[in-house]
Amino acid sequence: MSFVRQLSLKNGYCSRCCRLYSSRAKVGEKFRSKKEVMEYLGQQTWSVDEYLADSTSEELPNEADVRKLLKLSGLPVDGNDLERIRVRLGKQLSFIDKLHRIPIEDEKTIDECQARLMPRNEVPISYDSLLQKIATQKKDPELGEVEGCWDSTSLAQMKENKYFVVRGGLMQNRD
Amino acid sequence: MSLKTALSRIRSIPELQKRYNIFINIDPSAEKRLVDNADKELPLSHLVAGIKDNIVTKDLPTTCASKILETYQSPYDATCVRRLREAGVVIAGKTNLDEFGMGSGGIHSHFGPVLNPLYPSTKITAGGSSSGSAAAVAAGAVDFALGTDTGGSVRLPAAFNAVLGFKPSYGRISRYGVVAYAQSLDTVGILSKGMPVLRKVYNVLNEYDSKDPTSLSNDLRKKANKLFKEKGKLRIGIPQEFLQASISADYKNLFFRFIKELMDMGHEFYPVTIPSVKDSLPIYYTLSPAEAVSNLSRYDGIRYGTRADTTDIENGTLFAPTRANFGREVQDRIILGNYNLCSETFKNNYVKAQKLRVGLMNDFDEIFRGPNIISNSKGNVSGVDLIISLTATGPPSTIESFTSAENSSPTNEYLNDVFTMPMSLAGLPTLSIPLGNDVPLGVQVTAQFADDETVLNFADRIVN
Repeated sequence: MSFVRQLSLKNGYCSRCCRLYSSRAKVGEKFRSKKEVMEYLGQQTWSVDEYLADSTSEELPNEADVRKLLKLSGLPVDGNDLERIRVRLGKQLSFIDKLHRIPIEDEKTIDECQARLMPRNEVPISYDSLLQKIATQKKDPELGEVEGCWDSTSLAQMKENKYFVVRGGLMQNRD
Repeated sequence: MSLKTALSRIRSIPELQKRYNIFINIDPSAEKRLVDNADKELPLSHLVAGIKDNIVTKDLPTTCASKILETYQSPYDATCVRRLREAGVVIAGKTNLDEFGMGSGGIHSHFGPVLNPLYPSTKITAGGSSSGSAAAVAAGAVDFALGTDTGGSVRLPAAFNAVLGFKPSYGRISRYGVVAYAQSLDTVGILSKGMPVLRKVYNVLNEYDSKDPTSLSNDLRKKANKLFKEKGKLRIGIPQEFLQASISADYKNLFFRFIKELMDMGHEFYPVTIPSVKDSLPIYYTLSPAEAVSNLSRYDGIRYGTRADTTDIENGTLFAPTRANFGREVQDRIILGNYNLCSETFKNNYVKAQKLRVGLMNDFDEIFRGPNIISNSKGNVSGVDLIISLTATGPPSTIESFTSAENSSPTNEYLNDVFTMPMSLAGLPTLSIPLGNDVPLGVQVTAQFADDETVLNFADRIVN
């Protein structure tokens, strides 16, 4: 299977889990026999363990950063096991930080907005279709958009005269 | 499907529930509904379904397996649920899951882990996060179940429970009423034991929905119908990145046997390389927690859901007392997601991951023969129609060993999805087919974006 040999040389993962620059997706030549397929299945081009290979040596995030993240997350700082969070966040970060070592071909021409699974070249909205969209907009009762079609505070555990309630002062006691 | 089978499924539920913890809430009126609907001739009459409990229903609570939504009762049905009801389906109950869809073992539920019905005498994980949906189908409690698949959450549990699990192309089934985890990846999927049921359910759900801004437009659906015609002999690729050192010889042999049968049917096989597949896990764990953070920012207990007893603020952090009710895995991913979205790291992490995701999508376009209707790739004339791989590197583990690996590092659990994530990132239609009767591992079959029909037609011919 020369295809495999050639590819594994070209695309071999280096020990720190980053791809070589010239790697490209490719379809090889058709398998001619079951034996060829069996040999191919016996190949191992990389191992998932490479993801973890260098996960132990990373520095842990500092406690101040963890406190900041907990606040941003709307999670309590007191009573939380900050040390446990540091260790777990450290492991998560060393896992995803491998991205930094992966080069991007054509970095400048890749538009990150195309990562959305939506049509890449949408037809722009024309003036007429814009006006038409405005004219045909209506309130959908299935979306609960019609005034008074449901009691919007009915699911709240705590309310006062159809008002939602926040305890503890919105403007005070806040960092 | 007969009324008699449907009734026996519903009557088996209490016993199965006791053994495998499949459901979070069971509808006590399901039997009556079945009998009341008995004479109606609808496309899915006499079919009993389980619905993953992150898909909202009017008549049963939707908990997301979280304490934070423990008693939440939605005022509306998700579009997929409404369509099923209109087609005559009776919903038996809401199935257990990893809290908010975060997990691959089905162990992170406020209501306790799901046990795998393939192993009646040992405590084995059912896979996640649609753990209860897969177990419900495997145990025979339902004809089919809906799950959601963000990085493998339909396919992995389907494989571990030896049932079919289909993740259609992103945008084919409406997400309206599907509680968001990572909206750029979340996909509603279908689990069943047989292709005829799976296909009928898919046909009912595969519709544009104006309530979902990411729903695939009618124009694009039409375009896909025209482009992707029924094919006889297929060109099938085996990506070398899915051939792993850790796959045991037994499963490799079963995979080989599967391929041999397909070769005997006249399908052609090709070696394929998609190098960026290896980057999928770090891309996914950069993007999905970031999306989860913003999607989960709404849970404050003020308008719905569980609320802390005495206060809404703690040491200057609003809603912290209520949000402390998130489970540990959810909290870990929220913290990571906020890290990724912080201004200091955003460009290096989030934007880089998005660019690499585009690269991965382009790589898939390079190897498929058919065009991609959203990226506008023309297709590769010498490309393949399908790719196949195993769904996971091995069978499910015991609850005990899964839990202890997860306790030692959160990333151990991430590795379970190494084979399923690439298709999630590219939004590709993928079906996990059991390797054999009661074999807790599957083969994934994947086609070009929006070419769901080729996957389903292929499976129609080879399953059962």
